[in-house]
Amino acid sequence: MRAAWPIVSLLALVSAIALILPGVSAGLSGAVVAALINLILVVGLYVFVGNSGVLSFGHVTFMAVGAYVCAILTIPTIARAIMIPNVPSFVPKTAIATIPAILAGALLAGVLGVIVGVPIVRLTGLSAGLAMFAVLLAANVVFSNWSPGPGGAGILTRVPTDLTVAGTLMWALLAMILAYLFQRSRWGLRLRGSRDDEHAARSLGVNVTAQRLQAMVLSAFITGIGGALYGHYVGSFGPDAFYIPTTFLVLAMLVVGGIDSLAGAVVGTLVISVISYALNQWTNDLPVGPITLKLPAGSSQLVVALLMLGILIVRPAGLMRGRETALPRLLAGAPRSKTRSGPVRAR
Amino acid sequence: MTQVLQDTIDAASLGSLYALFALGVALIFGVGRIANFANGDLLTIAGYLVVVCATLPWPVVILVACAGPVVLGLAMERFAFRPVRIASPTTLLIVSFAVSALLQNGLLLTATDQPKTTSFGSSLVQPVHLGSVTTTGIDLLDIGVTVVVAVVLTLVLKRSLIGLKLRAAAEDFLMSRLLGVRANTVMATVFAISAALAGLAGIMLTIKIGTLTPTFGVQPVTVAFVAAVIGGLGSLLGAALGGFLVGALTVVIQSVLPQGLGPYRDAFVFGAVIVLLLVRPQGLMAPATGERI
Amino acid sequence: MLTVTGLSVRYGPIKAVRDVTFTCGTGETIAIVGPNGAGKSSILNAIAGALRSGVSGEVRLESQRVSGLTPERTVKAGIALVPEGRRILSSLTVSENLRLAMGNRSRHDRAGSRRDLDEMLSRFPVLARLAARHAGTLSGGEQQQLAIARAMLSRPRVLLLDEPSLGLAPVVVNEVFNALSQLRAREISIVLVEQMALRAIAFADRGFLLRHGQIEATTGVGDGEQLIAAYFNAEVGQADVGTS
Repeated sequence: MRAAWPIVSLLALVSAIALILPGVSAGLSGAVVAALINLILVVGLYVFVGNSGVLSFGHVTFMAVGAYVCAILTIPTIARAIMIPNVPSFVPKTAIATIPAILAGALLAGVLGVIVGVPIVRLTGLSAGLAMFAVLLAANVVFSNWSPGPGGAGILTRVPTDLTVAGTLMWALLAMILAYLFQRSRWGLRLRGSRDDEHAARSLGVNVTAQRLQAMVLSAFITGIGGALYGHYVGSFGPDAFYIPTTFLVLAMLVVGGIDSLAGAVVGTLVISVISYALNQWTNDLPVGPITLKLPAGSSQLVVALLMLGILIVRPAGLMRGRETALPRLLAGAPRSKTRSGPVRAR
Repeated sequence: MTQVLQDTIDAASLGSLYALFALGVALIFGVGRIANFANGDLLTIAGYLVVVCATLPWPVVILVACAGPVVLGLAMERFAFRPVRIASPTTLLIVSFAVSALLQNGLLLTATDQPKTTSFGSSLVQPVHLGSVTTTGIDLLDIGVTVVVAVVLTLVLKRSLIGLKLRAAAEDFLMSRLLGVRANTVMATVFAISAALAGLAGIMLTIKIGTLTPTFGVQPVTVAFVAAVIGGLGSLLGAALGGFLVGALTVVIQSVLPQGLGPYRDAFVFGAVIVLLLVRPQGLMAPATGERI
Repeated sequence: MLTVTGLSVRYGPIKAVRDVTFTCGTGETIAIVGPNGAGKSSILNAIAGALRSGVSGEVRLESQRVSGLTPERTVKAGIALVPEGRRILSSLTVSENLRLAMGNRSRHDRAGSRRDLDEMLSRFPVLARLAARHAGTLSGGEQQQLAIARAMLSRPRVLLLDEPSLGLAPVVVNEVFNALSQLRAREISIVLVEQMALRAIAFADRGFLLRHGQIEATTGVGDGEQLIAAYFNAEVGQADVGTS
């Protein structure tokens, strides 16, 4: 029970919010789906960053791959000749169902994770993160110059917008479960153990490079799912959706909640999604409940940036301080004795 | 032969521009252990200042376009980085990304994402013929400015007291402080120098390219990071060499790419760098043997 | 006169130093001895301002409060630290290491600076010989002398020495302690942390034994044996006796 509590509590929390809010107001369904997609992206990033301690600034590339692949596979058959005439010939002429397409997108994102990961995980932490940023840039160049259809550089339209709250929730729960299983598995634990002292870990036989690659691939897969869903949420997108603003938003959500725990990923997504939603509504002169504010365009990003800076100054470990949700006292049973920490006794 | 010479000058000029900017980024990293994404935005802001002031006499333009980034650089050191100075490297990195996002958003709000053009320095974009080789004034200026800056920087670092303090801080910040070196002074100095270099690079790149968007500085700062990684993080010389290498690589790749793949040049360049890192993850300057614990 | 009152140092949940109080008079040398992990280095680091957080208690130099100051300000106030492992700036030359320590003196005091430097070089002639060499190429003993000379050039009233004998051959340790005894004549307070308990206690005027972050025994002037007895009674056969 104790081991399962962190994940069960998170699954319950997310499910409750996702299912209750649309009941409160139908208009919130879209916002809930968007938040769930954000959650998947953040969890995807977390699987790599939280376990390896390496900040990757290029994960949105995997989102892009997931999005483009899934979209290309699911653009309705009747529209395919017009919408995507320039895709390679091995792409099927008929659209496939959404769920397999999402998986295909995620799978290909995972493959990219391997390709990119192999050179990058051999670098030291900071270099790896910066190299991932170069990957992001390169991907943006590629997508910005490739014209799959008449929409212009890297733009795809007519992607079916067939997401439901329940369906997206399923994917989000899956992402969280995968993340939790990984971090509790021996691969995840070894990776975490190597975070603080790579040399010590290597001397104990931990193959840090291999562990990081595993995390990278899983992380890419999950992020790919998020990207695929994103495509089906917006219906049309371009390469700008997978560049710096999105990278920043996803990172902000993870950082605000706390990099080191899954609960951090969830809490951060929740907090920023709510704030972002409110700010976006107000920027568009729409009310949030009974409140209406006048805000200039772009306020949302600015506020999120300031919020992130604030958290980093005041509480760098994030809202959850790197901890998972703790079992409430009542359910925990008899209190365990506090582990005594004191100076190392020289013997 | 002429083509080789031509390509060499092109590579040298682009490499110089990258190296100049990479020096600033490497300086902040070497001393403060901060990989400053926001440097790219300082470069962009220098460009926008050029656009705004283009009608003024050129010395004023240069002054303003360098002073603006310096002021911003000092402000970001004081208000964004100083409060987290004792934080982990991860936090520092995220702060730098957040500051960068703030600056880009600020630019987006004030200047919108419509590209701005300027003809400042257009005389420098005219072809210049040196024997059988054609280049432009700005390309030669790139090389010249970078050489001068490199020499000046080296002299300052090796001969002056502040240079001594910077070198000491780069090796062991705490120990330097225990010897009386003021951390605030050192950090403000490196941010100012680095911002000035970003300003210079921004001016020259704006002259060269002529069109600006808020994400103008993203590619140069990525190159600077990559150059620093190739050169071995923390080594100024390595970063400069890395910048030259990426510049040379860019020119070479540009010339061998078939017509249709031209726009993908940068993707190929970064791809090539990643392959290079596959072969030698520790970079160029670091010894091939393992790292000392 | 250095006054330390109720000094405590925490590293996260771990209390390394618990409520330590002592004084060191002008020109006095005190020794802090104790086993590994006792908190000796933490005390010196805390006094020097090298610890970013987790320090509570008060440190005063004469009447001026120096606790809570940044390292730069602490040096300016007159407290210099020769850290454990010496922490020589190896990418700089020997003379650059020394110049750095004088970096905050005003330009008008050139003559004074020159004088101080010459004095240090005459006290540590090996440094004069090696002035142009990169500090990283020096031997352990030479580095230790450089570290001490460097600290002295910030004109301290209190010199904190953290395990100066660490990693040095016995002969070299002699040289180091000789150099230290020359400094004693100058009205500088010296706080010496040492693993070589006998050596330190013989050298110092007073001392105390630190264990698990707390003072367990102290000596008055010239009464080192009592301290040694206390040290060894609890650590039978395991302490570094420091025969030399």
